[in-house]
Amino acid sequence: MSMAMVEASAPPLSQAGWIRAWPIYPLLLFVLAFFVYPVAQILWLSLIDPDGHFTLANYVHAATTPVYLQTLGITFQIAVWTTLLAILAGYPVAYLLATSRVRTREALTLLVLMPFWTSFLVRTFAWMILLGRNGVVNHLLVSLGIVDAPLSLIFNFTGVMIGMVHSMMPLAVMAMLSVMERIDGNLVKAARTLGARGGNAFWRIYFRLSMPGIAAAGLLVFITALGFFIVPSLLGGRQQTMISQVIISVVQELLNWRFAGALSVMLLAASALVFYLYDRLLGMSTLSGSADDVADGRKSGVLARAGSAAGERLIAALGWMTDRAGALLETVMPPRADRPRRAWSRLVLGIVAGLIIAFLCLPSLFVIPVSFTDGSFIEFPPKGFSLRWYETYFTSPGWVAATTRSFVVALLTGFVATVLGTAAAIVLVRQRIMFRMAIITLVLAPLVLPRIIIAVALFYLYAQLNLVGTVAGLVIGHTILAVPYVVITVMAVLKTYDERLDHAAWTLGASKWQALRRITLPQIKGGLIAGFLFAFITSFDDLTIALFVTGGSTSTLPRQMWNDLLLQVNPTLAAVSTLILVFVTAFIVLAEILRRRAVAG
Amino acid sequence: MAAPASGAAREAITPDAPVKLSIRNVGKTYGGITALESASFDLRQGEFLTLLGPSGSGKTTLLMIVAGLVQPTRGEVWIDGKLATYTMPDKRDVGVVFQNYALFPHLTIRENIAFPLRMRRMPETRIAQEVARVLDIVQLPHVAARLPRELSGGQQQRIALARCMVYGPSIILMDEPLGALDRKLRDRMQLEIKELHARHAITVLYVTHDQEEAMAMSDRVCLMNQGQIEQIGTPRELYFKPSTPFVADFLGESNMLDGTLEKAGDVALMRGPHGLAVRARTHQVIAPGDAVKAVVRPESVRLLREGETADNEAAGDVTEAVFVGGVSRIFITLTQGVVISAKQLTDAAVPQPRPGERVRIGWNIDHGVVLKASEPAR
Amino acid sequence: MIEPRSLKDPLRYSLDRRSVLMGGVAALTASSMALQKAFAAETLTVADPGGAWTPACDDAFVKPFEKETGVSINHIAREHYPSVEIKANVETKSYTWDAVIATDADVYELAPQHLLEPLDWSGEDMGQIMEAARKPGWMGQDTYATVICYRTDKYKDNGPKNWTDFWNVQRFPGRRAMHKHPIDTLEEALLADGVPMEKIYPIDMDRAFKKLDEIKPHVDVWWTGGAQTTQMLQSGEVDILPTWNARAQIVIEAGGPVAMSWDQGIYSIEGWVVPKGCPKAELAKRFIKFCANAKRQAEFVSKLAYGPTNPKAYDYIPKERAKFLPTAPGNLKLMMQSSTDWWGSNKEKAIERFNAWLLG
Repeated sequence: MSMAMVEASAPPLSQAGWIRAWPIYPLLLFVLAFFVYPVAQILWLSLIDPDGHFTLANYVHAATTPVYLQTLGITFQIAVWTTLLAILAGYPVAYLLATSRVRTREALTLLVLMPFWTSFLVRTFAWMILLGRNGVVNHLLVSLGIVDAPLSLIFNFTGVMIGMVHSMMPLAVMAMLSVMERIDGNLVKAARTLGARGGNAFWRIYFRLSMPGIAAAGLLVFITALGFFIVPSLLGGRQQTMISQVIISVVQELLNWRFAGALSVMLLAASALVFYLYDRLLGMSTLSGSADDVADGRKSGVLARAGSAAGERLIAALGWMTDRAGALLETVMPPRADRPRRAWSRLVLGIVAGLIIAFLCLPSLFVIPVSFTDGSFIEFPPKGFSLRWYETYFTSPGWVAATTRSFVVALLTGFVATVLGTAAAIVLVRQRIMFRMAIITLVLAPLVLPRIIIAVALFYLYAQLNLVGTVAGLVIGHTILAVPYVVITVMAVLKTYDERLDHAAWTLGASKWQALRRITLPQIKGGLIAGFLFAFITSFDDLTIALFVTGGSTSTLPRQMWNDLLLQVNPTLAAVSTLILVFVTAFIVLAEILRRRAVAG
Repeated sequence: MAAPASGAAREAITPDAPVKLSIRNVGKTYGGITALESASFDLRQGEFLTLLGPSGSGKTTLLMIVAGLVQPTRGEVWIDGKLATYTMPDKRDVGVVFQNYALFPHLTIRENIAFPLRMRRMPETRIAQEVARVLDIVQLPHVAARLPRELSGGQQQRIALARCMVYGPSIILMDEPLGALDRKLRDRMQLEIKELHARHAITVLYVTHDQEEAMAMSDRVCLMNQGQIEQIGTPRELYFKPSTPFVADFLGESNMLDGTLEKAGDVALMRGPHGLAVRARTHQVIAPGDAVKAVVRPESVRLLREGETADNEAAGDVTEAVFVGGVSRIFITLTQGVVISAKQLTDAAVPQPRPGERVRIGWNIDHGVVLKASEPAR
Repeated sequence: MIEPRSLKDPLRYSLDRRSVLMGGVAALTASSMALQKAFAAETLTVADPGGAWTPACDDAFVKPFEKETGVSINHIAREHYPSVEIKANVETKSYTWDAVIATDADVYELAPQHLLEPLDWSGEDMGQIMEAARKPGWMGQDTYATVICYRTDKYKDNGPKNWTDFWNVQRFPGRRAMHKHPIDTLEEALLADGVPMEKIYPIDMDRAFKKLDEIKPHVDVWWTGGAQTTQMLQSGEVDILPTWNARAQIVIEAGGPVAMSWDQGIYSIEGWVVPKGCPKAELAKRFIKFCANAKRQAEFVSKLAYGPTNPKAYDYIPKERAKFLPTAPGNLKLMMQSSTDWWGSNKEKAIERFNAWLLG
């Protein structure tokens, strides 16, 4: 109810609205200067022929050559499946986290985030070794007699799904968790007392109320998945080629900017269409995870109404089906009024979520024993025991410098992205500004576009600004990629923040700045930390921008790994990954202790 | 609009009325912490029983056990003559009104009320009729298409009640349903709930920490403290015949005089500090020499005029006299050193005693109770 | 939470602020260092493909050159395809590289766009370089070959020798991998179909794809990167695949049961280029000339299984080592060179058709 009041109290757009919206301008200027301007210059080429005349030839070629539309179709298909699976697998985990005690939740969150700390290059190779023909998993399956011959787990659609879902699930879990945490536990209890069995109570009430989280997770995962290229190229088979791979090849091998631009515009347009449909069906406000906005099922669009009606019917059907299954189970094990009920569903949830979390941690944990191998390959079981790869790491100035630089760049990126993103999020949530949808779309666009396009565009811009090969250039590039995550997560927490606290602070004599610093920011710290984390990771794991705008002379960690990876998968990578995992985990635990002390104080 | 509970409904609760709910030695332990010691009572058809107590007294735990949302560690719960200790909440035929109403935010009022009917697979036409019927009862037929957050607190409260009543559960459980409302609205809702209860002969188990609310609404009150039932009885019984000092202290105001029992019997004699003698009723078995407390309600303490007498009399000086409108409160320090508070209706014709003034006070035997001083053994 | 934390614990906040400041200082220092590197005299930035290339190049060329000239070299690894970056360097006149390794195919794209400095072909060393490695703006540094590699634990001494064998799934059963790219793959198909090496170009695409149709159902993995092939050979993920000789060499040197056949191998050459207009072009050319030296090249290939482009280098290479190098006379005559001319003008079409074929 308080939410409705906050919404209603938002002042209407007045003439001074564009002045009041000033905190959004730094981000807008940033995005315009370092994304829209350089990228538009590149994409513009797609409309110009080599003689400088306007042409649609590139678009005609892209649209009439079946392979490109097919690849685009595959890209969306892979992204859709990734989204569905990441949500399907992430939901029980998020649900378990949301319904656990605080301590348990924090410990589990650490595990869920674990994939983040292992470079995606290492993770992908870990999967190749784990799931290969002679890999650990197949070995286990065969020796246990579960299968007769090794399964084809990678180099096909399954492999792509494993790699991509694994990469995307932490994001999905965190996005869903932020909404689930705010569902009133009494609602499900109320449903039970009103005669709903477990199934109906879950689907019609809890699930229904968690849908904004699913929608936000879905959109973030989908958009991020569209731009993937490493996973499909290393774990995919003959038919798993994504449009980013094609665009990268057109840029790098064929140096055909015009055509790459046309393909990129096609990808952007298709994504915008999905975005539009999403807005019509679910409402963009779901992005920021406000349960109330989506709870309001009354939307004007025919599409929206048809969609939600079908959705409600589906949810009802799921509710009855679950209950039917439950009833069937009860005929086998009739419940007794004189014996305590066993929490079977909780047990099953624990097992399922536990397995999924194990899946998330597996590659990260896998590299630990592997890093102590005495052999010269990443293999399992590792050959002998030695610290030689750690020695290689610590004695190589390149590795150590790259690590330091990566941390510096990632921290700066996290800082800049959090400041810019938070300021913009405050305006986007609290003020009715014009082009709100367009601004959100714009901010999200860098996630869709293949990074190589952004990287090249930035190079041309940086050359004019003397930013090539600088840390500043890296930070700017990474901030463009990281800021969408900050905006979305901070918007989500701001929606839950009671603005009257600020009003109270103002009446108590605090200036707007003081109220923001001392009241608002401490209250939304959770969102800021999550946003910072996503930004940090985006930078920490980026290869493309680092490869391109530095020319290789300002090496970051993924860049250094890439060098090492070119000829072989060197165990140094496992050693580095282990070190980072240990370091980051220690850092988070420490930060958590500090945070708890701060909250307690 | 709402009249106080009609006598007819009250009379319906006879000892012959069927027992709807029977709680037998129910207890709950979380880890090593005992939330509920051991509770037993019966709730009869049409009865309004309130679980009253300070926070942490176990009343909500007990309510949740009845609702089936918490499983007891020991004891039995019988609903409508059937054992239901561990029965699923949806199979119990109870209705719960939650503290914050727990209206489903994504469903309209109509759908909220229809929810229990849908769960019972009632045909659509019947559902529409039933929803309309209860909306009429709570006098909110015009809000059917709205969402919960578009209603005021009081309206939400009534809808929560309507949602509970619509499927005619055997018992309605209410967990501090008026806690979130402001004073005036709360008073009005008390009357409304009371009236609905009386008119529809609903069996209600109610939880509150507000003693006035409990007294005003209940047929019987179950006063709980530290996971245990202190006393069950009608509001009058609890007020005038408290069985423990806690009950006496918790309900209303009371003068509590410490002393030792001198003479047992129907009319007990207690000797207080400095020889202050108090004669009062007792309904406990107390041996002479035991430490006791005598409880006298301030409104029973009279300022005696010249020549007026009472069963118990004492003299003292007025320490303070407070005029609070219809009622005046006077604090008197007795010659024995004890402070007694007296409450009387303000009479414009009679001047208020001034501080320092010597007065005589008194009260009758029937207005006092002598209780064992020690807390009952746990 | 109304009480601001900072009042209670000012130290915490000042610490935060200081760390932020330090981060900023670090960033400034780092960026100014990068600028210094770009502009200081007598430093040269050379970029190679990374991996094992870098240490070998360091020992054979970079360190000796530094010693001889006093120039300090900033030796870095470049990205997979250097062309885009070279183009960007030239077009923006902002040079991240002074000398960089590019393949003959890259040069085919770069040279016509006037993106390369002409090299100085004078002098004895440069004169010894083999014909295929000579272009105005490019000096081939090494030769690498796509060859058939296989697990010896699967095929013993009777391994597949040529592409016809590779296509023969009856005689050589086993898991196969192929490159998810038309370059070399189309040639392999034609060779398997009996086209003689010297008649491969111009490639008859219809014929090549028809032959590829035969092998399509038997290919278990379509690899995209060289590191993947090393890993697959090492772990036995597949039994037989075409890959670059140096990738298989790593596994062989580590004692893995792997062998390769030079027969019908397809070789290419990579070498140094200087981005057009580079202010340090003269110095860069001097460095390149230094790399042409036979003795240096011999040292280079002692660590890396690539073929030297200066045939005189074999005077300094032991026989045992030579048999693993593509340009060793015995090996080179078994192989054909990939045609940059044909690929340069047909790559776009071929890639498009190949991608469509893969999806079909």
